[in-house]
Amino acid sequence: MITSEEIKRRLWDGANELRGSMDASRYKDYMLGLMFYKFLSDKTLEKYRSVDALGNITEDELVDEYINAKNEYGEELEKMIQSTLGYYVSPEYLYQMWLRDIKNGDFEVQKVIDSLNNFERTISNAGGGDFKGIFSSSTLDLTDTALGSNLNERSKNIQSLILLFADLNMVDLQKGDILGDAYEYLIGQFAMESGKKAGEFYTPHQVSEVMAQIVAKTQDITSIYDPTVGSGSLLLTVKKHLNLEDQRDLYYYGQEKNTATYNLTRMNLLLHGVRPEKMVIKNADTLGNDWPEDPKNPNEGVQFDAVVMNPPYSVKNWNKSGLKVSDPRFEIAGALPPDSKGDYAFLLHGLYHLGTNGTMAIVLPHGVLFRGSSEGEIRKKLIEKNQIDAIIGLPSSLFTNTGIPVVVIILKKNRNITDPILMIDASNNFIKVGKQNVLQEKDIAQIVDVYINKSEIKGFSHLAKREEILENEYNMNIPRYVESIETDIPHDVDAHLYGGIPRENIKDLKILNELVPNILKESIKEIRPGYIKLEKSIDEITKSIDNHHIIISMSSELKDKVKTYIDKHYDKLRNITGESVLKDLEEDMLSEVKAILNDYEYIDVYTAYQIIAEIWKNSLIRDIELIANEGFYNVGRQRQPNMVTKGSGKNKREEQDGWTASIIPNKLIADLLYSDQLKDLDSKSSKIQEIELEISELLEGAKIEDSIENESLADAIKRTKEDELGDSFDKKALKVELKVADKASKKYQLLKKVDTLLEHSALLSNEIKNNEKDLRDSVQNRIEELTDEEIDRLVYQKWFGQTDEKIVALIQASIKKELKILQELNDRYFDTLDGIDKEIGNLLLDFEALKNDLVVG
Amino acid sequence: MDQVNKLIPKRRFKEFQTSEAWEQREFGELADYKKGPFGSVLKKDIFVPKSDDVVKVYEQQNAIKKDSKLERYFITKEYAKKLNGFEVLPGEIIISCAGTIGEMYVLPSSAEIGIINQALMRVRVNERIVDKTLFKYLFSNMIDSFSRTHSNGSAIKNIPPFADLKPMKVRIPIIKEQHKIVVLLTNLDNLITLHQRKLDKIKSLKKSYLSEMFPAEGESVPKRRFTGFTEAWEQCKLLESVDNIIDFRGRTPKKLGMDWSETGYLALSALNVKNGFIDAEVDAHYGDQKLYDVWMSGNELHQGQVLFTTEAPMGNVAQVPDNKGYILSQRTIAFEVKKDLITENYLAVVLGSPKSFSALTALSSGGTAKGVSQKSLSGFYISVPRELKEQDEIAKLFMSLDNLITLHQRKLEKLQNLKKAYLNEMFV
Repeated sequence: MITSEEIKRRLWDGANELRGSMDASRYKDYMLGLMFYKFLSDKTLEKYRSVDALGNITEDELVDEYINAKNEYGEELEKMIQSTLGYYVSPEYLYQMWLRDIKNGDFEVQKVIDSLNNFERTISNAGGGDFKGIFSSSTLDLTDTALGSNLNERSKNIQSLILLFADLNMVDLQKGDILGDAYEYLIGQFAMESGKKAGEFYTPHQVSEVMAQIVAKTQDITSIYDPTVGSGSLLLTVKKHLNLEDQRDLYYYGQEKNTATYNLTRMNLLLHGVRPEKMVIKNADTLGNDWPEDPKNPNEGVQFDAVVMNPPYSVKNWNKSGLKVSDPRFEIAGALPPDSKGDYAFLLHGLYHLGTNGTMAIVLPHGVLFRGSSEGEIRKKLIEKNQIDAIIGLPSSLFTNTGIPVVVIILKKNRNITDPILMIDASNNFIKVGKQNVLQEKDIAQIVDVYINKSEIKGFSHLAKREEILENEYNMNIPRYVESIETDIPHDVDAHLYGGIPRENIKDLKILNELVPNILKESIKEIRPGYIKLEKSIDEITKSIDNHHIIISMSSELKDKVKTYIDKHYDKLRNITGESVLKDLEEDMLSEVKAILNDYEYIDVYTAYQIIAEIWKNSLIRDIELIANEGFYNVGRQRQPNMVTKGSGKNKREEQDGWTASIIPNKLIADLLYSDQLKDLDSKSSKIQEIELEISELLEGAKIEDSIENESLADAIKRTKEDELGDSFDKKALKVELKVADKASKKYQLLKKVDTLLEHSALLSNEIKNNEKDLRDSVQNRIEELTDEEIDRLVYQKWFGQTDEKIVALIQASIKKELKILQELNDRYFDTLDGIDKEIGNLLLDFEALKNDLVVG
Repeated sequence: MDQVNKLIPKRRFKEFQTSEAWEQREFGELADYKKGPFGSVLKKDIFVPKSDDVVKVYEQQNAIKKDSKLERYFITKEYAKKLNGFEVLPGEIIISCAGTIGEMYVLPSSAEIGIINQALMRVRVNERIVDKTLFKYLFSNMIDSFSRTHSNGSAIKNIPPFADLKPMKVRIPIIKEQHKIVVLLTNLDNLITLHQRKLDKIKSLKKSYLSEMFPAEGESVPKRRFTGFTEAWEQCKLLESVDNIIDFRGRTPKKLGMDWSETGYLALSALNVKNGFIDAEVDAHYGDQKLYDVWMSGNELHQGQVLFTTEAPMGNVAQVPDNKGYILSQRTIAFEVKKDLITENYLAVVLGSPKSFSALTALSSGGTAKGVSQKSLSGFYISVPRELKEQDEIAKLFMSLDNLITLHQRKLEKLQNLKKAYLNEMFV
């Protein structure tokens, strides 16, 4: 059983290796196209298997049967397959036939070309429209010299590409969306590799998540539209957040201008299990011609429950077809977006197709919030009609190929006229990964929570009323509405002049005041009205807080709660089956941790959320996929060859190096079940270190001239390039020296000592090497013999080993934050101007005296 | 003996004037030196997490940052016992010896006992012969001169090997004279630290006045006011308190068909206008008389006029320093105030306050490179006391604080140079 992570890695590594110098954006068409053809071939074969009720025969046999059947029944057979799938692949054009040719050494590129061309003819007229032109030679030209300068080279490259998918059963992989995920992943990876093209940017997954969660969580969706659909990832992200029933009933609409991308969109949706009859994807210019038109009401657009889009940013000369304000899409705005910036044209197009109760989410550059002239007019109209629901400012550098910060705008048509606009400033919520800024799971969760609860959080969100917006003359720039939190506590004149910490500042230490008011009270003393000084050091205060019964009981209470929570979910996770909806398990777990932490006003809920989200990301997603398929204890005892890449260049190859357990890390098995052996290894290696220490002391001693070590050992030490004494002994020279030295001499003793030490150390290293190998083997053999009880213990340790401690530590973390502020205040006001002056005065007097005491000789 | 007689420093304490000449010693006699163990002895896999049963490993950073509290690695007490040759105690000196070499730090009495790592050298000074503080000066002089003679242009990367270091010659006076020298040097060091602290304090004090001398959000009067003034303050639009904004947006010599000159009238671009002063060092351009006349005629800047940078960087405020004449260049604007409403000195102070800066930031556009347009300035309010006299008083206070800061800066530099002079004259 291969997991999606492994497929992703394998395909992407393969792609990189095969791609050579070819541009990523071109190569992806070949790679993804052939992958899709494999899918179609596998589907056809599976269909045939069930039609002829062939049961469990091998793929090879199945192909033979299919060839025979075709000979026997001819077109009848294919028609039958076509009637259910909407297409078929004739036996002679199967992907599997290419593989046979490669094996027999009579592969021809022409045959692949013929197969792809023939596919067009096998599409049924009814409902098969989604497959039309999907392998057209304009995007999948196998004679292109970019694939190799001559036919021979091209043939070789295409063969390796075909072999890359050879053993992947696409039909199996499609279950559980592994195939779709892998495909999507490749599209994303390729997008990152490609340079930017005319303002088109692949929507980073985290941005899609924000949009999809908002759209999916606020209403029922039966139809969704992306007017600039790209690879379709926004549509699919929304799908992912719907329940299975809604997923099945959803209608997908999308339009894409770029033909190659348009082909990808269709393949991507089909691979994700979207039924052909549920999707309508069109290859055309969204702005040029309005689409889709309502068949019942000509000249009126179809309206959708959800519109999502990431259009190209600030497109110049977008209005090539000379649209007028009278275009029904722009009517609401009463103005045409400027020729130099197409942003609002896209927004208005999407809005036009939004149903009365629907939700639209669009990504655009910040400029749309404050630019003037006609864009200002449009903004004013939208605000007057009150169709802007929320504006979410995101951090810069989220996209791989542009650094510009973007905003997500949420639009709705059914808002009450008095509903304020929610402004969210999430521009500071991210972590840096290399040059890139990345929204973490907790950042996404916080944005979505604030959106759903319409909550106002200082420095993060604000509900802007109509009057405020008018006051700002319809300028929607986020900083005008969401005040950034002052991080610097204002300085206080009296405190600087006369010392002491302003009591006001102490009052602002909310957590300390509410949790441990007594400790705080005992630690400060008023020195004059409104000013206090610290009576205890911060270290002392920290200690008394840590030992305070409230903190201790709070910690243990929280620990219990977290433990119950984990145990409950651990049990669920162990017992999942193929029927469980993994997505729901994750969501339950995440929302429950929030609920637990919500009782603790002073703990950052979202940090705890992130802890759980990361367990999912790092282990659970992969592990429970395996558990669902094969059962907990079976997977626990499973092991597979540990493949390592050896050599480089032409000699690069994969070789097996032992075994690894499927879900339990080998190291964990060693740590928990072989601790004695590990301890023994430890003590041996520390013995080696002792020896090395002794040797290094002898070496150092030998570097001091005239020392006895120097006289005795110098000739047995390796020399550096500058012919100075180096940092190690020369074993050969040592033996020679030993032979000639007088056995009674001090020199002999020292040489002998070095010799013994070196020997002992070599012996130990050898032992360690053997022990380590034994341990490795024991662990690898143990995997298959683990008891149920051991598996329970190990997996629990792997997933939730430190989770309770990490969450409980958040209590300390929030207290520490305030103690740090207290420390800063104390440092800031510790000196007074007068105090410093007095000290300077004294010092100057001393200096005066000293100075006069000096004479120039 | 003649030679020896010359070996006394230029400046010496009176009581030692007749004492003997400074005695020649070798560094090997002054102290015991020990370099950290080989890297293999303190490898990553030996380190353990911090707990009560561990010993700290001192690193380069402790010496360079002069901070004994920095900590990253620990070893078990058991293992530390085996490494006791490399133990370092409070009061002993650690010296960085690889990369950034020669950084010295005396571990304070509060420091933990620890083990030095490969990149450190531990020095146990023989305090019967040499004062510890004096040793630091001597050692660092030695390293300086060693690097001067041994480097080929670039700084040396390793502390001299013991074989070279220990025989190195050094002259020292008798211990009593050493102590006296150390008293003076320590006194100067303390004076420098204190003046640094005082400078910081005055800067903080200015910040505190800036926060207290203007009305807080929602208040009509400030927390702190000069006596005799009671009237409420006003929030007025900046644009309503000025007659005119001089803004030559986009004007360049090229567009006027001319060019910059080597000398002449200094052009004030946003790069030259710092907070509170004009900096003629960065990217300065000058215009000749002709350029100046064409550019500035009718808009000549006068002393005290308020300058403001609109972007890159946004929000710097300074006043025109004199009446020599300046060219108003890229991204800098100047205000012509309504004299009956606001004084120039006050405008400069209020524009430069943190409150104004955050208001301007909110009004500005752009992500990282913020900028304000004249249009967005129209939504910008400033707090103004009605009486011009009160404005003057406030402006005077901040000017005096600024002057104090400059003076203390100068005094600090003076003290640092004075110490250098003493070091030069009081050693052999």
